[in-house]
Amino acid sequence: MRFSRARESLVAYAFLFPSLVPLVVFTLYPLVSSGYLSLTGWNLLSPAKPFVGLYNYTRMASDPALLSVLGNTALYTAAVVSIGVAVGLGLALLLNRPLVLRPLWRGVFFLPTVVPLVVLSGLWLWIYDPGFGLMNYLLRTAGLPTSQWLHSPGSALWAIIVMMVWHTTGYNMVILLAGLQNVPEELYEAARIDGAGSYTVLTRITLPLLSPTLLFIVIVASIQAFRVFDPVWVMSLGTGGPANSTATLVFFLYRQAFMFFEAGYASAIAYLVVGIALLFTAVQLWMSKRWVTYE
Amino acid sequence: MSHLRRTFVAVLLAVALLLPSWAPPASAQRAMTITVWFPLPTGGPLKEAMDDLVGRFNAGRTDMRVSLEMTGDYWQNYQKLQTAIVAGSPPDGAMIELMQIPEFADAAILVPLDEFAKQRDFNMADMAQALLGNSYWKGNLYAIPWQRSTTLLYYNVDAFRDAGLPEFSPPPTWEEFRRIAPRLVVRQGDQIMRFALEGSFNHDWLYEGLVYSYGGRIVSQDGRTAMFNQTPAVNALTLLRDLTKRDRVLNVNPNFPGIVENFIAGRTAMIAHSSFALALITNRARFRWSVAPIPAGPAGPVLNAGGGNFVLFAKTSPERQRAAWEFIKWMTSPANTAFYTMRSGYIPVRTSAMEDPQLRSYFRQFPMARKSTELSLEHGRGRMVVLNVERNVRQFLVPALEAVLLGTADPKQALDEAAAKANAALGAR
Repeated sequence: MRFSRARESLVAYAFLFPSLVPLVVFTLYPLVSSGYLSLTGWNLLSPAKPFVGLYNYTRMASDPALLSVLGNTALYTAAVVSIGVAVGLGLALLLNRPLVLRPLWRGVFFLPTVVPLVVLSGLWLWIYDPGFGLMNYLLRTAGLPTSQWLHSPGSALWAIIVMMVWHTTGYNMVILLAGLQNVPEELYEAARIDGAGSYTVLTRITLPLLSPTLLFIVIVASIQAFRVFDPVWVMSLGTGGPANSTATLVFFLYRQAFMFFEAGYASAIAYLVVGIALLFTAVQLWMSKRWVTYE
Repeated sequence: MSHLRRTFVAVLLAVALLLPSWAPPASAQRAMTITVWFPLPTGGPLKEAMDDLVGRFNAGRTDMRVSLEMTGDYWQNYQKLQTAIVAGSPPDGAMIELMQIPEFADAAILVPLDEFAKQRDFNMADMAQALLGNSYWKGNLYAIPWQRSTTLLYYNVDAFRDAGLPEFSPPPTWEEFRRIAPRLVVRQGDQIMRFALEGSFNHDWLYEGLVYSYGGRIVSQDGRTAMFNQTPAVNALTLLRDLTKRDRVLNVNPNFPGIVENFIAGRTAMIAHSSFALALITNRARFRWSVAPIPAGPAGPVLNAGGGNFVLFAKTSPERQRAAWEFIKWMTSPANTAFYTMRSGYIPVRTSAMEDPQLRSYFRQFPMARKSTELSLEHGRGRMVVLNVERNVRQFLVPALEAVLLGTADPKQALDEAAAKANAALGAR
């Protein structure tokens, strides 16, 4: 067997080719193209794409609607990630113990993750109906005060957060469970022999060794949450309302592009989205150096 | 070595299979095929009705055939058309929502239909006047109504009887509505078990009808100035606010399909909805019900129009445009629009269709359908005309309506602020 380096890489490229084509056509080209569009005032309909320089970016800086949208997105992301990961961790720790019907429970908690988001959103739209929805029915039956849920600007975003925590927790749980199973049994044994209590075991062994998995989950969940669109679109009936209280950044982008036809401005917002996502990851990676333990 | 070469060849073959094949097109058909985009899902009773009609049209022609392509809904249809227009390959014709007509007309991508409509074999005078409000743009005819509805009031006759009101006595005016509404509301402690009225008044469709009926407008006739902060519009919103927050007789519900369910379940005595909802209520409501105009303001009752219209795209040859017009002409014949009414619940687009023997016998079977059709044709009104209404008006108006109806803003102040923003957007376009 004698084959040259050039031939070897040729074979590699041949194998890569099928996935390179879509990558270039559907990712790289649009990335560059929307970079150019963000410098124009194109309205998506006319053949002319007037060049406006950095106008779209300066406009972002002075757009009050964008500011409130960023606020909504920050609240949404922080809530979904922190609650979703905390609950997922709790469930993972619980379901990592020997438990009756353990596989069943694991399946049950993972189930909401499997249902497509648009279907879930449509379902929860009915659950949240203030008049005849399941949520208010249960609250009424329990003698508790009811809520307007999606119909009030104070509660609408939280209603979506609750649903999304329910939706994402199962995924967080499964990944964290996998992480837990990678913690060597000997460490637990050694700790037990040394007389460590369960709290000490949790904070000194489980969490430090789980930290790479936790970091991964936090990054993935943050980026996912940050890009939220489907539930907002379905549950606010395409409006981002009531009174713009559920409008998030990607919804805002979509509305600028495909409802207002401001392709230029929307492209600039898309770059903002990419920028924030990159920043996010960078900060998290930097922070991780301080508290993540790699074996 | 040969093993490696074989692998290489296999990979290349796989790649070749993934690439689109360049097979020569099937031999050109003699008959011209006209493509029409239609904003419906790819299944369901409306699609079947349309397939039925198009099938009959095609069976009767040897020189051309129509291919109907389903695009989902008005909104997806709109976006797909935008994309196709940018790409330079729109279909020959399409059905578009009436508020989208000005944009396409203004961009000079629609075929003016005046010459076609003037021909002797097309009776333009017979087209239902109530449905033509949005067919014209800057003096030219661009759209022929087809899949049309208006707003409508549905009321629970039994609820009226139980409240001690005369059975068939829908409130003709808002004044009368305010007088009788508290009697229709059912409370259990602090809980409202049944509202007098429910509707998506947070959206401009119902609100605009109300503003018309108060003698006002949402925007000026030319679509360049917001008018929804003038007295009639402010009064209309104040009324809605008072009914919702003060009297607590009106439930503003943004969930459009949910409102129909609430009516059927008896959670509201009346609903303001689309005339199209009639088909959803028929055979499902377990009580006597009827239809009426939405209560009137000082300027009389108005039922705001909505729905789809046929348009043709200018990109194609005159020959294809003539062929596509043949299709529109055939579809909107009295018998065919009557057929679609029976199958879909939409309003017939021709006055003479009301005399169609089959529609008459259908109306005898469903008298409520006749009543609703007559009401729509009598009180129907065209919509405001704005280029890109979403960007220039709705994004400011709808949150203002919502804030007021949720009790967090004053009508005049909220509408003033929204109008200032809308005017800035309208001026900046």
